[in-house]
Amino acid sequence: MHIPDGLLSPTITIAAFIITIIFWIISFKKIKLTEQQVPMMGLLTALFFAAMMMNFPIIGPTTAHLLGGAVIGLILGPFAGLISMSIILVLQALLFGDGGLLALGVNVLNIGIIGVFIPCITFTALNKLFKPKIGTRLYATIFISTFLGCLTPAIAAGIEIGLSPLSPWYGLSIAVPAMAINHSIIGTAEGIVTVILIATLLKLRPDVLEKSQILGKITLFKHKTKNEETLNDRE
Amino acid sequence: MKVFPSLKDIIENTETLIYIEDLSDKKGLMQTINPIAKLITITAMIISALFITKLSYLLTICIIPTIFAVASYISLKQFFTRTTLIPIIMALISIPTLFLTTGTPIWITTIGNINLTITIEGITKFLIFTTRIWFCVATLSLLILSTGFDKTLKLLATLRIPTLIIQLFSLTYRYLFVSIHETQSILIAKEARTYIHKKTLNLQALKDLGYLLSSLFIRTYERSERVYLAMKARGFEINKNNKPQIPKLHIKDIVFTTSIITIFAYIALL
Repeated sequence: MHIPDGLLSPTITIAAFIITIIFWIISFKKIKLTEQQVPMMGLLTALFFAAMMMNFPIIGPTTAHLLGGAVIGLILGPFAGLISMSIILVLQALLFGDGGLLALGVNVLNIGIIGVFIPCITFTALNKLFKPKIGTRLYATIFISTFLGCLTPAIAAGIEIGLSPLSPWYGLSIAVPAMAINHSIIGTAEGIVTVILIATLLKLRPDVLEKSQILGKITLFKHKTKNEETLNDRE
Repeated sequence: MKVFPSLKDIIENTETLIYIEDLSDKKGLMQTINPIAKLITITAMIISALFITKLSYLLTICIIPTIFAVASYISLKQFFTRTTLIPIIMALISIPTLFLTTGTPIWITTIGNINLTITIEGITKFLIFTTRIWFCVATLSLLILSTGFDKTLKLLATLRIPTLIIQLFSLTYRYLFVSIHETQSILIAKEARTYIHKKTLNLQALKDLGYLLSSLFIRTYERSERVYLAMKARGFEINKNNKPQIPKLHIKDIVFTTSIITIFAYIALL
């Protein structure tokens, strides 16, 4: 998924950088971190970075790792999630050569913007539509959001690669399906991992998710908030 | 004992991070260049590579990052190990170019009913693509290998990146080692319990990964509360502006940047 330098044409690279910069500015203005949230976000970003180094088997020696955009977006919210994901992408490019300097705009657009915002939008929409309580429906909502959070960045990367004259990857008709099929397998795996992660957190530390901009909207917390408000009113 | 791929990757990645910090302290060519000049030079080199379409020119410019690596006391073994993985992956993906590009055939074979023809144009296209990717990856690697993370943060501050973002970068990098160490401990404990790895995608492996991540998440969240208190005790303030300490540009930095940009612009325009 990480596109290296030298693969995309300058036009696509510049266009992606402009979109990314606009989203960076909006996100930076939108996130209002308290002093306590700064170390929390830094440490969680480090954790997600480390989590992306963990592989799961696909077939034989082939392994894949988490993209992480969906889980970051759902837990931290889309704007903080974009900042967090951008930090990870910069560090991956600089420290491990995974990505690139000019390709940073494209990678942030795919993994940081599409990969974070799509799951957040999908989750919010499905949550409004079905108002799921803890159980299969909620987990299905998380799974679908995460799956799309993996698939859509891959399709976007496929389009960029397919449109770039520098890449030898045979145009849109091959690049897009190739990326989509590959990442639908990773998306399924990531969906399951994210559901288990969030289900465990809901069981053990629901207070952590309650503060989340996206997951805080689920029915469980809304009821809790209303009950707390009623108690406060009574007092 | 067969090492679990995740564990192996994590150990290798930690070694890379330590290696970067060690190298940036040496007194080689790239280490003595001002980080801003270095960033401009490296960006210009990568941009020029996008405009070079002749294989011979691309192969020629590949000598430059290699010379810089030697002059900066970067072990060539480490340098090539670090810079060849991504180009190899890209090369594997673009193998069909060899057969799908029309032109002068140099090798023809038949597998079943399919005729496979490798053309000179196909080989050239394949090599241009792979060489360009290697050049870009190698050039970018020079930046961090010769700068180190501390100076890179100062560089970001000089580029007027908001203080909050730099604070987040700094925290992420510092606690990356802690996160990696903790992940490593959990994976080693799992190995010690003679955990059986299946070779295909299976629900149990994904469940285990999910539980492992949730455990790490809770630990990290709780640690962040303690870290905040410790930072506050040392006078932490959000958006506290730390003035960048990047040294001023010297004549040698300007000469270096100008000469490299001129050479690359000339090659790109040829």
